[in-house]
Amino acid sequence: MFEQTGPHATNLLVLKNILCLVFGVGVLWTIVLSGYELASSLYSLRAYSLLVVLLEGVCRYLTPASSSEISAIAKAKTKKHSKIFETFLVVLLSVCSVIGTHVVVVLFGAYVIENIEATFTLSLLVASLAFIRPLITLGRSAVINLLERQNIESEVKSFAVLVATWAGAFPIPLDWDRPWQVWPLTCSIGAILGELGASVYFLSVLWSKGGTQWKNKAR
Amino acid sequence: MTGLSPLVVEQCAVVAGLLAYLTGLVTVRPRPAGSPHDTLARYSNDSHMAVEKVVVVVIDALRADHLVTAAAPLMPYLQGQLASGAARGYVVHTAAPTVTLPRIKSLVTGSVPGFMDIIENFGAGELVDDNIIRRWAAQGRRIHLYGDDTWLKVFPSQFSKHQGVTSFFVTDYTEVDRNVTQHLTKVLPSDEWDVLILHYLGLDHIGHLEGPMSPLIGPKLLEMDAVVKNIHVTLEAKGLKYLVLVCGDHGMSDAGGHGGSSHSEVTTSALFLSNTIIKKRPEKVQEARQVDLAPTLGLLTGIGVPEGSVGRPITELLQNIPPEKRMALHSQAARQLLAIAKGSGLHLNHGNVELLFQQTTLLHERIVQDLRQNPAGSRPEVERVCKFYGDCQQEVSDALATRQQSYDLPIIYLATFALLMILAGCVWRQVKGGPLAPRKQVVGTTVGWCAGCTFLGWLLVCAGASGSKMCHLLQPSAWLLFMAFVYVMVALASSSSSSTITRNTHKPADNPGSKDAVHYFLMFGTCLHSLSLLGTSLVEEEHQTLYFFTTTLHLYLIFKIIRFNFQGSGACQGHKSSAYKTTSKEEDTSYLHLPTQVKQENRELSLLEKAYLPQNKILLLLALSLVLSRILRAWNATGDKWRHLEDLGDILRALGGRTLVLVVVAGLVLSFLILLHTSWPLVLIALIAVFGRHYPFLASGTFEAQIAYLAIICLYVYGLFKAKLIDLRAHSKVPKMTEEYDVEDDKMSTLLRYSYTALSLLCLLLQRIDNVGMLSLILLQNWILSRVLYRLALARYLSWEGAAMAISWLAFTHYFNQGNSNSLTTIDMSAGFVGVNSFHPLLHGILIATQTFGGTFLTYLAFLVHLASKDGSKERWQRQLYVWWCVRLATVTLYVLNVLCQRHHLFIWSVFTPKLLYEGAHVLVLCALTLYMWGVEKVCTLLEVTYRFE
Repeated sequence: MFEQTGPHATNLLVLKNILCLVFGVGVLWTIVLSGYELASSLYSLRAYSLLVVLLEGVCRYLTPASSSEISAIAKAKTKKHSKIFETFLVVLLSVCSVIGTHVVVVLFGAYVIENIEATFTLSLLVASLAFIRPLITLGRSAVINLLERQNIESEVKSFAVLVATWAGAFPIPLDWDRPWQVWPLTCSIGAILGELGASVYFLSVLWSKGGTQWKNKAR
Repeated sequence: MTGLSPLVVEQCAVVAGLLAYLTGLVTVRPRPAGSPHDTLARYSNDSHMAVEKVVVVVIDALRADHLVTAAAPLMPYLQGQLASGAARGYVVHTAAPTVTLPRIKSLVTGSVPGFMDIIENFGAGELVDDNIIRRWAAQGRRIHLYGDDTWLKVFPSQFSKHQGVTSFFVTDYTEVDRNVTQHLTKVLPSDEWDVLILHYLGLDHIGHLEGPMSPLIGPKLLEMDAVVKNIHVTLEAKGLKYLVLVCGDHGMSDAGGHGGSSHSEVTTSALFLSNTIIKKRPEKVQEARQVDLAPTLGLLTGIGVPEGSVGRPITELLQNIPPEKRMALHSQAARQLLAIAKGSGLHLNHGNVELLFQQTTLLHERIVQDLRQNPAGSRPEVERVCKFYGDCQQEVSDALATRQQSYDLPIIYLATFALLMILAGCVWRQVKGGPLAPRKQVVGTTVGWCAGCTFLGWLLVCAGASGSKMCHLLQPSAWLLFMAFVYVMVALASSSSSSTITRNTHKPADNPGSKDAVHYFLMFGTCLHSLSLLGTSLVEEEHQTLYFFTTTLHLYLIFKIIRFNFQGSGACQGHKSSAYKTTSKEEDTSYLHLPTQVKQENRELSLLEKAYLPQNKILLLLALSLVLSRILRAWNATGDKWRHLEDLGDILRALGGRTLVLVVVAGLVLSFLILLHTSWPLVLIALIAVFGRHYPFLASGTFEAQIAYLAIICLYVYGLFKAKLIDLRAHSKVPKMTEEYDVEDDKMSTLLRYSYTALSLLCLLLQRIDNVGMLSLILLQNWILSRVLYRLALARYLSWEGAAMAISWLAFTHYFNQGNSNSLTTIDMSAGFVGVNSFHPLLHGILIATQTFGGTFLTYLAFLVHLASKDGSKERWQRQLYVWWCVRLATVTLYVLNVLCQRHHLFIWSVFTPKLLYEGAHVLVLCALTLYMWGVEKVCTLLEVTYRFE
């Protein structure tokens, strides 16, 4: 995938990943500083989700050409008024993904009525990290793309976030009674850590690639 | 094909090893160091100032907040006495297995009986240790006992008059107490007793039935209050020195049971009413330990402290005794405790206690001389001496009570080693795909040689560690270890000799299954689950781990199917069809190995149909099963941390009335639909009888329950007929050649189907009323998942080992869904008395075990039934059994190692050991399943052979 992108797009990608890193570290820092106080942590998590989605939207707006080929083809095919329809569809799918994530989290054992705010914050976070971002980048065909392993970046990020969130549930039953064991902080922190890990991985990949490019240029 | 026989033998060996391990967790009773002297004689001169009449009222499962720390006037008379200072109340802490027998022993001996006494709770033997009852009897006091007959098992000959009531009819809570109280009217006024022991069971039974919030608790406590008031008033009128002790043997958990170690179970109330104690109201509720009661009673009644007691006498209660005497008693008690500490090899911290004791003894002697010169003076000095002695006692007693257990380490090491060896063999076999590989027949001489070698080894080990119990041939542990080791040796010998022969003839592993990501996820999850048992909190919350994994598995499978669907429908259409082609081809080749498969085609789907997966249907079923998991998970809250939260079962019970009826009926209809395919009239009768058990048509549910039992037995016998295992028209019909292979399979699957139905009905019958709906959902999930997993495994989405592991998770999930946990508290005793009018310990035990492990067993069986009915080859379902066994054996071995390593852990007796018992029970469940399948298979084969030779 990286071969197809131009230098401008690569720079943007690097910038995006660095920003992701900064946001992630920032929200973790906020949560730690607040002493894992639930209400403020939930607030910062929601703000973080919104920020991440906004970042993705801005990136998409800046690099319309670098988005996946399928959506480009689709755009070429369709008329202009269907762009609004497309946006509407993406929003609809995003809302659906949040609701779907919420349902899955409940199926995993979260309370149905109790703590609904916490659960919803978690599903908002996970959905925005794992589903809404690919939806913005890839358009409505994101689901199929993800399933068919066509876009590596989105897939790896979504996968990392989902697995990390899943693994974040493990410390919950331990009887240490620490403040960070409160639902949904472990899973949220897991999700952010997964996101950070994926970002670092991409930066390292881009850096090594960039390094070779620069070497080639120097020769 | 070796079939299941090696597995059965191996399971016997493992069970023997586990039992040997359990016998290694022994109690070494603390003995005073030095020569055993006649302690009974030593105290004989104390009796001149003792209490003359003693009444001990034991109220089973009396919580601390029922009497001593109660906020509301639950027992008004006694609470009034407490408030006025006439009575002394204590919150009493008991030791871990909060079951009646060990607690009674603790009450009378002042020692902490071992954890393994819980096994003896059903079959109690005579208590041989020194205790207050024996001392009373030896002193010639007449002891009367009315109440729980556990006392009679422990003291068969000490009571001059007794009337036992049996403690196992949990459903009865009025008669059982009336039988005790009716004796009081005759006995109390008379003068023919010195010690009166009453043990009331009603409160415990109410707890088991309805929990501590039941409306029945209040009247019961009032009744107890009235009984004690009656006793107290009568004794006051007599004018003798008396002592009334009202105490519970253990507490009651917040869910109503007992046996575990939650705070409300290990705390109970004790109340002393006497005219010999000084009236004074303490500012706050005092605490004591159960082991303190025996020495206190002993000193108050002048019989001395029992030899093995690790408790300390409660100082405040002895204050009425003249100073000189009191100091002597305290000194004696402290000396005894120090002797015990020395005898059990306890290292007291820094030897301070000995020093304190010596100094106090010097002070004591001085004061005694002072007192001789001036009998009135030095009152505070006496108090100081008593306090110092008390401090000594406290220190030693605390140290002793926490370190009561010891281990027979040689036995434990050897048993662990044997289990590890067996596990290694099992894993080796599984990796090689060996269970179906030809194996050299084990001959008698090999066994003889191995037994001889084991015997030599035993001699060597015993030469080194002669102190172990293992070296006494009369102890069972020696024989159990012997069995396990002979198996290990034989397995080693046969594998080493056969591996040279069968190296080349190892046939290609048929149907290896696709070992893909799902398979590795299942492996990973199984390992993680086994490893999670190393931590106490994860043992307590084991169900969370399992629920989590099961849900993940569902989602993963759904994801995988959708993904495959997309890939298939997309560009790689050709790849998909080619994949299917190879799949069906492999099926074909694998089927060629099995002659029994030839007739399959007409009865079942054709091979092509088999490989094709109706994805939408499967997805729908998986989603339904996922939702079912969530509902089942919310039905019964279990574990430790979130146990108290309200669950669906609680809500149903609270709603009661029409909603509950609706849920029960819905559950029964659902189970009827699932179990329809066997003989439906019998199923219908049984289900109606199950309904009648909860909502009786006649007086009580007993008759209906008996009808249900009858229907279930009829169903099973009918199944035997159907499977032609019992044939009245013996061999009248000669089977045709074409049917030859068919007969056996038909027999097998028919019989298994009927067994499944009968067992499901039995479990439905035994469930609590709010759990009927839950069990029907479990049956539904079994039905769904055994089909789905079979289909998925057939279509290569999942390896067969993976399917087995998934079912094993599901079985455990269902175990916890029923409300069971890893604590002994949650065993539902009332299940043992459904439709049983008389007392048969074995029957009750079987019924309780069926109720507890029914869900697990049914899940395993459902998958086997489905496999056996769809697939004529025995190898497939036998392999499932092998996989289950391997997983179970690995878990158990790991756990046994864990207990060995963490034997000094703080929670070893409250968390790890109960879990060890449960792990053993799960091994037994699997053994029972294997044994049943083995028996069914053998009988079917045998009958088929006789048919053929007709």
